[in-house]
Amino acid sequence: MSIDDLGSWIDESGPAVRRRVRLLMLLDAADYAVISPVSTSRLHALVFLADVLSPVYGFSSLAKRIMKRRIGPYFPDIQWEVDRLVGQGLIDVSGLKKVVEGERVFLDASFTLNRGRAAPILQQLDDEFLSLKDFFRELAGALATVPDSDLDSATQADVTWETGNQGTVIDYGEWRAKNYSQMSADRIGELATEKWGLIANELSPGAKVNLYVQYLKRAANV
Amino acid sequence: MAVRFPIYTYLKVDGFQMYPGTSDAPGICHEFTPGLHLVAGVNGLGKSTLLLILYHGLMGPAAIRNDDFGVAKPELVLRRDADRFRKRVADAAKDASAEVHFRIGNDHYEIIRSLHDLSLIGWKINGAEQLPDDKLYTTSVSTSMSVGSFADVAMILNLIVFMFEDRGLLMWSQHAQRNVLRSLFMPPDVANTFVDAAKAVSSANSAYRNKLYIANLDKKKLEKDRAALASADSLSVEYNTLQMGILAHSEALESLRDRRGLLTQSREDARTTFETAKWQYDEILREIEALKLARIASAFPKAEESSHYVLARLIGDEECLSCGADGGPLIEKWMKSVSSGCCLVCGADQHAQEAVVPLVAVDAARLTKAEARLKKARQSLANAEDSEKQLSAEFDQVQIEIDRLVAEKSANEKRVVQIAGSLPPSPPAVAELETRVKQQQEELARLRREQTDAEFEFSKVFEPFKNLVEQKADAIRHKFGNRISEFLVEKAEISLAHIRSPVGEGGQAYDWPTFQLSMTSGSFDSPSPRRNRTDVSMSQGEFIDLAFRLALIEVAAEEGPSSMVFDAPEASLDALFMRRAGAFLAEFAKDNAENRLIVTSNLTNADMIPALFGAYEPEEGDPQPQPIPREQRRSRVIDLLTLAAPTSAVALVRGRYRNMLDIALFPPSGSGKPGL
Repeated sequence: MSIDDLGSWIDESGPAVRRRVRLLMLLDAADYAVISPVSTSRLHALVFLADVLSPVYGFSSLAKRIMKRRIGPYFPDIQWEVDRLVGQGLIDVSGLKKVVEGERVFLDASFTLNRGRAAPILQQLDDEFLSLKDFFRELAGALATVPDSDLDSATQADVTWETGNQGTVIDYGEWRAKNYSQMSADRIGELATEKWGLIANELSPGAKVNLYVQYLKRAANV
Repeated sequence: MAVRFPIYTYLKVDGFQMYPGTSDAPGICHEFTPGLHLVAGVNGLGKSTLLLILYHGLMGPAAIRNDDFGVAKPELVLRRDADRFRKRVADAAKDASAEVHFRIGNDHYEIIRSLHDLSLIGWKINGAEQLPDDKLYTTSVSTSMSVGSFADVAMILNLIVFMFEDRGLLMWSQHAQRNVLRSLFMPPDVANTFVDAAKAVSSANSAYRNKLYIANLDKKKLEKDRAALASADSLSVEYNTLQMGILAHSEALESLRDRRGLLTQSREDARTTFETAKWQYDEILREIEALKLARIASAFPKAEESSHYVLARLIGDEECLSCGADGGPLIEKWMKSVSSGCCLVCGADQHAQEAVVPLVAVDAARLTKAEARLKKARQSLANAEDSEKQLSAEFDQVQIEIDRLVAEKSANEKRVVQIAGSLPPSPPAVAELETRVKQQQEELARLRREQTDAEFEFSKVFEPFKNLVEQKADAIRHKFGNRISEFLVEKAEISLAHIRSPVGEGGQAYDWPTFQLSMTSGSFDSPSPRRNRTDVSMSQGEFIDLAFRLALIEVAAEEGPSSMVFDAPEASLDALFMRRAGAFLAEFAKDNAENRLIVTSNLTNADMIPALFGAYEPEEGDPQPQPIPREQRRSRVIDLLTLAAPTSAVALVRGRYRNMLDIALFPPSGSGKPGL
């Protein structure tokens, strides 16, 4: 499959394929940031922050909405795509275990990219989505410094997450134009440029994402 | 009866700080004997001011309105700069006066005016004291000069007798020529009838044109309104249709927006339900996987965790993670094996299996319940997804319809505004305008008749005027030719042309007799027309105009005397022409034994003085001088070096200036001949 074909094929193949592409690239970024294997909760936190901060890099969000639950960001349909990628041998599972939390029983696991099988695909994806790759690597790198134990509170500090109520859907781009995380990252970028005397818009999107994660860490007292 | 020109005979200026005079003889006192008189001085001593005193001594504070000498009927007004003398001195000329004597025909006038405001203090005629009344005075002067009015006196003084430095030139002013020719050649009563008739034509034409302007505006508006009315039906239909359309759109939009409001809520509810269903389904799925995991792990102890994960999912959700298919043929068998404790590899019954390691039992009851819940959850998920899709589609449809209606309504509203701007006025307003236009047309017809009547009356006086000028034309042309040949090397002549133009700005045109100049030059051997002032040089223009004035004086006065007052004739002259100019002017002084020529001259350009007095030895191209006897010369000079308040320059080098004057008046002998 040529590179040109790949882009249009992904565009035409619907949200499931786009989700899988992003998942592979995110796990690749996690490898890059040396945080693999990635726990289920960290994986979903990564997916969520990548989605709400996509506009900072000029990408549109993919899910555009999330049901707010006490356990933190979790996208059932994203998990189903993870499962499919496991079935296809592109993602490896480790630390598989049964977890019992009161009435709730579930399987927990950590995920790693199976680089051997995924490498040819990623090579094409990297060429096609170079800036998306940069974005994910910036984000994974920034979040690498947040230990799993603090990840939950850091994600809870995200302004998009914070604006919703438990049990309701948070809309950050599906029907509403407002994406508070993007606005906050941009504003933090502006404040930084003012503080450092830089010319407006000079701050790169990567720097903005890093500053925003710094903000999340401070807000969560990490 | 021929026009009589004023002959200045005496001037006395008293109490005017510009001219303190001498201790023996304060002020200025000068008798103008026949012939040349010179006002000599340098810049700032008041040469031109002295000529102005002569002018205002006769004219007083009257001036032609706007200094416009070309109007149909020149009218006199009080001049705005009647303070021109008092502004020149520190004491505002409170006690300053000028006594001017002049003769017009046989009438001797003695006038005393205040230099503060030019008012008449007293006047005598032929020695008899008169009431200091301006009206009496001006009427008397007009009668003595045998012209129609004091405005004609002003005309003659400004355009014939006085040549000031800022002089307008009669030769190139067609309209001023009309008035001057009329003043000079028409009998006073006819001249007055002429200007009144001309004024009537001009006024009638002006009234007609003003009314025409307004009437045309209304007429055009009426035509526009009528055209608008003619297309009113189709416009009105469109306007009403659009208004109804806008109303229908508003109502439809209101209903659609209500519907959208409801759908917004329903759609959000459906989305929440869908997301919740996903969660519930996922939770149950993960529970089932967890319940089965240990069993799978014990069956495939060496398999990788990914395989356990795949298998757990396979027997949890009946979906093959490997290929993505649902409900493959082996799935039911696998699920049954897990639930009943059969071997997952071969399907052997639990009892037939070797119990090498303890078998991991599955919580069958919980698993059964969970699987039942999963089935329900799967159904709920499918329902919620359908519901969300349906409501979203419905919402989108409503939104598309709203956008379409808003765009249509906006376009209709724009068109309505356009139409409203071009809707015709109400029929009563058009009817009112029609009446007004009709009245205006009647008024215009009346004014046109008045103008025609006025033109008819004017024609009756115009023809005699034209004939008179034509009768005099040859004489004027002849005298001009004689005069100008004394000055110009080029051949110059004037001819009478008939320039067709109306009295005012419009109406009937008349063939106005107008003198026009032709002249030879380096480029033209035969005389070519010089219709503009700029077609000749500055000095040529002035002397041509002077020759024209003198020709007019001679013909109009029928050999009677005149004064000619010329401010700084040397100003624009080439030095080599100075003697020709001097001889030219001196000739006038000799033409008539009573003529007075009063000239100012600046000592810094003193060549003009010997030229005027004929005190030079002729060189190549010079006219033969006719010297004024030496003993007469002093008495013909108003010496401002002595009489005027000195400027700083004069105070500094008065001796040198005086010497210059003496040399100019009495040049030292040259070429072995006795002093001239």
